[in-house]
Amino acid sequence: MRLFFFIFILFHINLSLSSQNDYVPLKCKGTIPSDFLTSSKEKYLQDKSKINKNERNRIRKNKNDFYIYTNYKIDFLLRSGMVLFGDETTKYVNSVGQYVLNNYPDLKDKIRFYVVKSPEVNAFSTYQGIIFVNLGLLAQVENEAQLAYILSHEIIHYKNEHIIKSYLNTKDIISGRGKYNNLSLNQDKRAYFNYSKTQEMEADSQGLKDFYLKTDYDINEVLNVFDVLLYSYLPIDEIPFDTTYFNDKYFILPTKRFKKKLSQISAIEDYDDTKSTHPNIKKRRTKIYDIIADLDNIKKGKKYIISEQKFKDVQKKARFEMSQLYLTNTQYDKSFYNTYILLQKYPNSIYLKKKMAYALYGFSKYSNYKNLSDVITSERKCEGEIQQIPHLFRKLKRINKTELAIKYAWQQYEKTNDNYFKTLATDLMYDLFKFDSKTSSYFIKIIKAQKDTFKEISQEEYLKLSKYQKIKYDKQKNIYSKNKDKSNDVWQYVFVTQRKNDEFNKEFIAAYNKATKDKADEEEIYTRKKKKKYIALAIDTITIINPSYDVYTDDKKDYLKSDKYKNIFINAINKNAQRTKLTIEQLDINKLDASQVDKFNQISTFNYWLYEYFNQQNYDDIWNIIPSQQDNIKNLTKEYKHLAITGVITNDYTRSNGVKTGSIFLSLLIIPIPYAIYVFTTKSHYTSYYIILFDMQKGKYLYKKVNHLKTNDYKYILNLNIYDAFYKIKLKPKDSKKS
Amino acid sequence: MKITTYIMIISFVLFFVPSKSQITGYMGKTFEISYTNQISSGIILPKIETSAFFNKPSDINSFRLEKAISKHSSLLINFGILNNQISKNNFINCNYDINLNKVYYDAITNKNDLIVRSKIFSIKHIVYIKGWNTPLGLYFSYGLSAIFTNYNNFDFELNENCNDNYYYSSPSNISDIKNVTKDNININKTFVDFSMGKKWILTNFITFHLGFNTSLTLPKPNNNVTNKTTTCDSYYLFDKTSYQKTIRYSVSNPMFFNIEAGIGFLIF
Repeated sequence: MRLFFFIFILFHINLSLSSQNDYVPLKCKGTIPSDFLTSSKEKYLQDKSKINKNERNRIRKNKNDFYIYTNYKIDFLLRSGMVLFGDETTKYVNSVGQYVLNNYPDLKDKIRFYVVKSPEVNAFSTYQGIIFVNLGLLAQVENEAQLAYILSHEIIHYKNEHIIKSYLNTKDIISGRGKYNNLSLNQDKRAYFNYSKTQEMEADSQGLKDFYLKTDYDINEVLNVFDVLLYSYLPIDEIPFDTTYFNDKYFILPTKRFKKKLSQISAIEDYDDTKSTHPNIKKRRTKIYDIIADLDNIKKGKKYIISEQKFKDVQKKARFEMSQLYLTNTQYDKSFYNTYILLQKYPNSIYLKKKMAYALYGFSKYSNYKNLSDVITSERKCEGEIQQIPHLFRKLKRINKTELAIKYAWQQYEKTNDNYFKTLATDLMYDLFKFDSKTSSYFIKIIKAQKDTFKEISQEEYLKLSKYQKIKYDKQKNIYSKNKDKSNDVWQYVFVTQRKNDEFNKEFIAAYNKATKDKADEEEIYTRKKKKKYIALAIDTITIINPSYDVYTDDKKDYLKSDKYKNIFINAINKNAQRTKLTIEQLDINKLDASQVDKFNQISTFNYWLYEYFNQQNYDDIWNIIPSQQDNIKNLTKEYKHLAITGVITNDYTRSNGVKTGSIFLSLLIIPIPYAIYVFTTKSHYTSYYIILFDMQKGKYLYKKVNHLKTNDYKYILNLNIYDAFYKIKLKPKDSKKS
Repeated sequence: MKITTYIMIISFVLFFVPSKSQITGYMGKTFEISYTNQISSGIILPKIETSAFFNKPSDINSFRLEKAISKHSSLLINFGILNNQISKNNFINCNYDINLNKVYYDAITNKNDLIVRSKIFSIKHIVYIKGWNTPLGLYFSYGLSAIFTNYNNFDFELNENCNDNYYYSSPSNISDIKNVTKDNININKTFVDFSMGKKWILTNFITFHLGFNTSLTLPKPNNNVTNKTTTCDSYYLFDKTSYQKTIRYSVSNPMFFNIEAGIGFLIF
């Protein structure tokens, strides 16, 4: 009994240890803030009521446009699944922000801090008092004091209303009013950048004086912030890539594929900032030096006030998230290197290994189906140790990238028994046999056997042989020399370790059979005429996420109209669902209440999954790749098996001058006069309807309907499109044959 | 067997033959009945050796049945009636000096206009272009039409006591002239139809369509027009030849090009 208890305890400790190592992606917690739930229109109307009626018409109109634009844009970001609230990182940023605002209770109530899932090293504030801090920034700043200074800078942007001032100023520049009268295009641009730079300088200096210096943070850290900004394009650390990283007992990755000399980091402080919204680092640093020089007494401040431990924890979390964020943005080389750095410190993290496996999967997939350059930074733009990654994967052959990705994923599958790795590996095995016919080389035992039976003989001995012996000898020699070339190829040993595993062999052969069968089928399709496919999915329930209706006029979005028509669109969806007897569940953040944070997280997860999906895919050309976040949504797929996105985009264009002139000439014939009037009084309309249905368990699309029409967005066309899509989704295959 | 019977059988078979394609229709509705009016100008296009160029615009009133047979195509059966109002004034021979025989002239003009009624039967295949679904949106169609016209030829005759010799004994009274209906004439023609248009919908039930239609006559070995050998004789006041030609053309001209507009209902 005691032994049993001991084993139980040991097992439990082991489990808890392994779960401690595993990083859990960030999720929103607590109640949903009103910023996320209040409708954009309500926010806009609130702001609109603040407009002073005594102001000039032009300014009132510009302000009105600004309120519409910012409220809808910010709400789009808030509901995109990329903004966090209530989690550890947001809580920490909030506590630092609140500390900075300690002396300003009125601002404390107005300003809210949220963390954005973006790898960019940036923070930005809004007119509404929301300050967004990117995870990329949290991953790069060195300590709490640096973060506090950046927040001080952003608070000034809000306090001095920089955003609306900048908007109104830009409008003046565009329309050439006041001092901007009669400026050339280049002068216009310069005026815009100069105005922005003045604001940034103001935020730098006032942020320091009004907020930062009133805290107990170390003044020297302000100067160090500029180093963070200067080198923000580099990864979180500079660690040389181990050239033996992929090697094992049988396989050695040739070192000639690596770059021998890496180019040095070249960033300079005094770069040309004429076409930049921010002044260069040297100017900013000088300004800060001047302020510090004027100070009477400089006290030695602290790097951490809230908590050093919490900062380290937040930084770690941000760095872990970076691996995923880069994958989502299809920057696979950056994700690979970020993960590599973190794996040095956390070698047992399954989370990181998954990201590493996916980066390799991504390299292979893009080389096989698309273009590797889409997911790899140009070597010229790379500096420091990260250069090794784009260089290596550019030098490796297409097939070798696939082999390497399979090898890594299967190695991790053997160690962790996590099906995510297996899914990636088997998907790649199929590609391996689909794109390359080099299958025999993996069976090296056969080659070795052939090599052993052949013995070379001298010229004299050869001459002594009979005619038939000579022919046989020549044949054997030919085979041997071919195999000899192959045996020099290290890549034939790539799967030696893995092929000892029966499961690997089984999957390997299954992939081979499937690929050869598909190849044969494809050839058959080419030779015969393509059969017409009936779409009958026999699905009873689908989940529609955030149905959208976008109205554009001359490519400019009309947010208020879009909002109005969205309700008509949702009604049409419900009506057609009833007629087709398709059950529809709608996931819409607008319909949630403050307590439904779990539902909010679900929607955010799906939104973020879709964000990645459409980074990889195109509406018109959908190809075979599993999104990296497939693992994140696996728990949700039981509840939401079939997820659909749907929407309408309408665009009204003013007709071109060519068409108008043409109609004037035509109207000289008198009969086409009504046509000319029509051309002058109306706009040309374009409307697109789309619905894409996903099988969430597989992470692939099931059905796609994208319809572009040169017409206005009439209600009946909406019904026509929705009904057609729902009908096919609901239809059972047997019914389809009957009809 | 008559050609009408053939067409009826073919259309019946096509109409109820099970389709192999997916039909979605408009919110599940695939069957539509509609009324269509096809208007064409009264201009007689082919050359006629009289001054009779202008008729009143003729229109075809049709009743249509349309059934979706696939996502992008439907079958249409059309039953139409073409009414041609032909003014007899047009056929007073221009070579005659009207004043010379006022009585003759009055006799002709006093008679009511002649109405020639034709029955039209068409079967068409409508194709809705990509992006649109049956039964709405931009379409083009092709098909066959048959037109069946039956009319009585007529002429003027003098009473027995009169002689139509202009120089000697002209009719002095209208009662001297009588209207004589002669042989019954059939004009049967077949056409190949092409049309284009657009269809809209209102309140998920009522459809509107607007388009144009053109039909080309199929060559026919035996023409049923009996007196096609009639030559123009300037001697007579009433130009019988051009009268008959006009009737023939007034049947085919509205078919040659017309603008169609209609209203319909999606039934089920």
